[in-house]
Amino acid sequence: MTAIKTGEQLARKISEQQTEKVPRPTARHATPTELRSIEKKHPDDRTDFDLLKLYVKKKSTEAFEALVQRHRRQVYNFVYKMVGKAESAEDIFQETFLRVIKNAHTYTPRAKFTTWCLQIARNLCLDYFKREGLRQHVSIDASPLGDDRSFAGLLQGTDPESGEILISRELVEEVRQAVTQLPDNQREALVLRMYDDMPYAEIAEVLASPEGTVKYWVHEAVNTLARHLERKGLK
Amino acid sequence: MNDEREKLIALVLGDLPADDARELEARLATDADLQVDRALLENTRAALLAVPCEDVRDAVVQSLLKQAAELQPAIVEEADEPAGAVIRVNWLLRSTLPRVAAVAAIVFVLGVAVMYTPGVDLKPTVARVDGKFIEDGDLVESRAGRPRTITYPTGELLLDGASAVRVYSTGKYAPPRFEVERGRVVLTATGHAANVGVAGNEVQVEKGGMLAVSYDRAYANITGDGSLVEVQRMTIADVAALGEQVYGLELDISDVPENIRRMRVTFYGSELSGDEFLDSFVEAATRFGVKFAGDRQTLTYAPRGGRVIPNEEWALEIAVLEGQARVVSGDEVVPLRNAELAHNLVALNAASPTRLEGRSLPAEELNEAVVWAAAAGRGLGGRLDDVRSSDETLPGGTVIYTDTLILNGEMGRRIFKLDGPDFDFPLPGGRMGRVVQLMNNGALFEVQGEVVREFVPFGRQ
Repeated sequence: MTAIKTGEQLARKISEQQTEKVPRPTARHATPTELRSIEKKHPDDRTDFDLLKLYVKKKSTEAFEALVQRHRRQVYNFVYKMVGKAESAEDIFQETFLRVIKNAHTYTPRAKFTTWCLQIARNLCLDYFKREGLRQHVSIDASPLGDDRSFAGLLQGTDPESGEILISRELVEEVRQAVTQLPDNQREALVLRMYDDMPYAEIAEVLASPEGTVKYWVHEAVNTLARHLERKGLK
Repeated sequence: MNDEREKLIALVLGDLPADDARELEARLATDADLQVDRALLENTRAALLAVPCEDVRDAVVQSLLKQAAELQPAIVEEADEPAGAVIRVNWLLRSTLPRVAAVAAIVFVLGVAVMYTPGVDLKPTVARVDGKFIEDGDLVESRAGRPRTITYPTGELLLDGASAVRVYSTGKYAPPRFEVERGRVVLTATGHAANVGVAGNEVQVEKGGMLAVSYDRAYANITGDGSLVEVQRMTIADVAALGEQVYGLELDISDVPENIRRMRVTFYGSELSGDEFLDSFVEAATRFGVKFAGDRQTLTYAPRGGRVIPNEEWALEIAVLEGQARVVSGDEVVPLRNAELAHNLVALNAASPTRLEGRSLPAEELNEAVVWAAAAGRGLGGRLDDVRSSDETLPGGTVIYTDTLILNGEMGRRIFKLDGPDFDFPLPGGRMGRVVQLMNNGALFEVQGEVVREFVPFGRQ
């Protein structure tokens, strides 16, 4: 028997090795050289992972603050549009970043920091709904503005100069509320797509669902909203 | 939701593929009901976008930072080393560790013995090219008209023209890192992200991404017997000096003005004699007004009009054809994405080597910019929208055929073939040629019965 492997055997071996799961370094694996190099960078050029390394290894509160400032708007906007109440959104926002702290040493750049952070925020929102007993048997047509209100005329035509569609404040408020009444998965996908301009592939990662499904949810959400607004007289 | 409604929503959100969008737009033009539906969806989208993005109050952020400051030290201690692990280490020291250490020592001694055994090379195998394994640090080169493909478990890299890529191992399970030394390459990172270095820039290609790099830089490779001649972007003065060095040609270029001597030429050849080398060189320099002065030992110059040709020592283009990538150069980072309105190309040259600037090319222009990629043996599928089948029976060995790339001049529409039957393209002057390389802006032809290769720029009808 010969010990020499053929090219195909070697290639297969390499391919098998490639598919094995290999642990990636986390923030706690950052070396002193690496940390020195990160510290030399201009603050704006530090990646999210750089900031987490500084936070975990150097106890840098400045690094954590930079991380919060960088992502506060996106995380809060997502949470607020999910729960629809400022007070609850603020609590979830804080809890999201506290969980980031607690798990900072386990984060690996396998996913983008935003994706990871939004996954945490999303789980907290779902916990909130469960805890508060919300989202049971809520229909999008249970509009906070009442069923008798017509939107005819709330769409205020088109700006002749810019060509932009002019939207009334009431209609914006109605849409905001209607979004909170969408099924969870549709609302999540819609918010990430419309307000964060997140690619479908990334949304799929946050929601742990196939890309095609996510796209369907977004389309379904727009369809539901359009039907709802149409019933209210929007043309 | 029916299929038509879904398509309409996809159109309004910009998710519909271009072909489907065109088809739907055509129907919309004549269908009043569909137009009403579309208006409603457009208004819904506008209303959705009118809902402002919310930001959290500063007081909430301050409260969070205060809580974080109190929480943080304990977490870091926990992250550094759990206390329980100390006990486990003590236990390991007493029981298992000595055995593990003994085995490790034996393995190490055997490993060192193998490493120093003559003929045994332990450099890791990182990829394959032409069925052969390549190892850490190996240089892979391709020649004009002979594209090559480097394959590795999670992707592949195509080299076209006179290109060179050095391949480095980044770890046992990680994809290799490629350093492009010159030429044109296309990387397809199918199963894993991959890194490409070029001209001091680092390009990080995300999983599923396809990247094209064109690094056109001054380079010459002329074998002593003239069996291989590759002259890329070399100055006329340098090529004259090379001719003397390799072939002993004593060329007098003193009549050629200094600024013209600094102009750069590109030509390729194989099995070239001294005379043939000289012909190729002068042919390539003709575009700058350089020609023979009576004898074949003196070059002269006659001014000529025409557009100014960029004369940088090198030019670099990095384009994303699929997915996403990031170009990092020192402090600058340019994200590239193959999507509408996103930056999909970075162009650099020797005149401004440190300034990275993303550009957004429409799909059609991007396809043209990297059309040579298809020459590497496999079409880029749906990306090259303009690839169409040909009515002509194509012989075996044909690598690419597209009838939408048009030659300038009187020939009109032509089908490019690489590695097809020789010399079946009529060229100006009644000559026949065959395509040997597609480039960004044209095709390089080998002309029947002539040593000189002819570059024909692309045009459009």
